[in-house]
Amino acid sequence: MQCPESVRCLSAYILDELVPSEREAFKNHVLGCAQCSAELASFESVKTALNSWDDEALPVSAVAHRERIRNLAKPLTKQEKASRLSPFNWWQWAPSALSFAVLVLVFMDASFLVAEDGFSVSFGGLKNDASVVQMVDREELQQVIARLEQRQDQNNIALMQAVLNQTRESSEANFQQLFAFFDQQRLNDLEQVRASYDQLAESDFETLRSLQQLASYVSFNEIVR
Amino acid sequence: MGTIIDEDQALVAAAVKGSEQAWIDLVVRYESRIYNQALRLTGNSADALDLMQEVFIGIYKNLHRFRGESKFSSWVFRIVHNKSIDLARRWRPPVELKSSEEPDQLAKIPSTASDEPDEQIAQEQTNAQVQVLLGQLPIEQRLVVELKLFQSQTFEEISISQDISENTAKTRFYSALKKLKDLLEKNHAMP
Ligand SMILES: [Zn+2]
Repeated sequence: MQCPESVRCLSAYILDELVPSEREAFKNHVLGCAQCSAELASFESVKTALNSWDDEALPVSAVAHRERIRNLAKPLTKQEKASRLSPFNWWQWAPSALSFAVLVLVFMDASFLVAEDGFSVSFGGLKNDASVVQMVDREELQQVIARLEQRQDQNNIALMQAVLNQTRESSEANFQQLFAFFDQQRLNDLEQVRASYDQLAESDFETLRSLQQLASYVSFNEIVR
Repeated sequence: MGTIIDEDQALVAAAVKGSEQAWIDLVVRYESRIYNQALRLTGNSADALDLMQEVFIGIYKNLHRFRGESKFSSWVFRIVHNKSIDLARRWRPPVELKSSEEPDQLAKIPSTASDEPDEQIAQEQTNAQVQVLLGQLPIEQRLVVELKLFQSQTFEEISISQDISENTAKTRFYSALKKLKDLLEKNHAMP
């Protein structure tokens, strides 16, 4: 049979949850209770066994790991930079990235922002920073991609409708305005996306790959066709 | 204490600005600590080295995001935590503990250590025993034990860094100790 004091106090004692008076009382009980004192000694021996850990030096076999870790901060040579960039030539995917930017700006009410941390997209208003989606994290990028994929069909329809409405209901002047707006945004985005790209290229390749993927999912040209 | 934190922050700031030396200084500061954490979490030195490397890559990539709101060491452990979850699936304990077949496996380790004069071997055997013990725990419990016993964090700190309630942290810690206690008792009770 288990000692009732043990049931009541032992775990709380080990987790240091007892107030000083309870703590003292339990300590006194342990002195006179063989079962509780054995139980407590067992717990102590676990802690002692674990605390016997003695920090080890890195093994000789760690040379390669150590070097790789130290080299993380080595500045890349121009050649290394170029070879790192080659599979992801910015200008190859520039059109889709730009059209994506324009698309989201106009039809999804979203915008690109270049923040201190890198690259971000905000949804729900051009200057609305409340819903800024930080795109620094690869996982976050993947989520945005997934969301955009889901909304792709919807966006196609919305875009077609918007264009139809424009041609049917708007005056020529409005239409010109819209294109002027597109073009201005395109130029702005060209600068912004390029700046972000350069920033990303310096630091995080996975993000870059995701960004490219993101851009290609939402190709403006494809949608208009 | 305060100066160590300030020095860490200064090194992080310099490394973010591109100082290679600051990065190397940070690595030197944390390499042994992270390696030993990794050894306890993975149970073998090959995985520990891989984990350590993963952690440093994670630190380097995210260095610009360290804002100094927490201690650098706690921030580092969050990265250790994330990376070790992936590695936990590859757990290979250095010594198998099967209480029915090899009842005195655990009890034997300290006594064999005394036959061996070499200090390093003794240390490795002591650590191997700790690894065997930790290897009996699921990764969630192992992480809480790591934080509580080896990094002396409070349950409040653990609950924040592990994103669990304080009660869950306590339950995990107590269950871990209880499990190891029962195992040790079983091993020592056998003839
Ligand atoms: Zn009792």
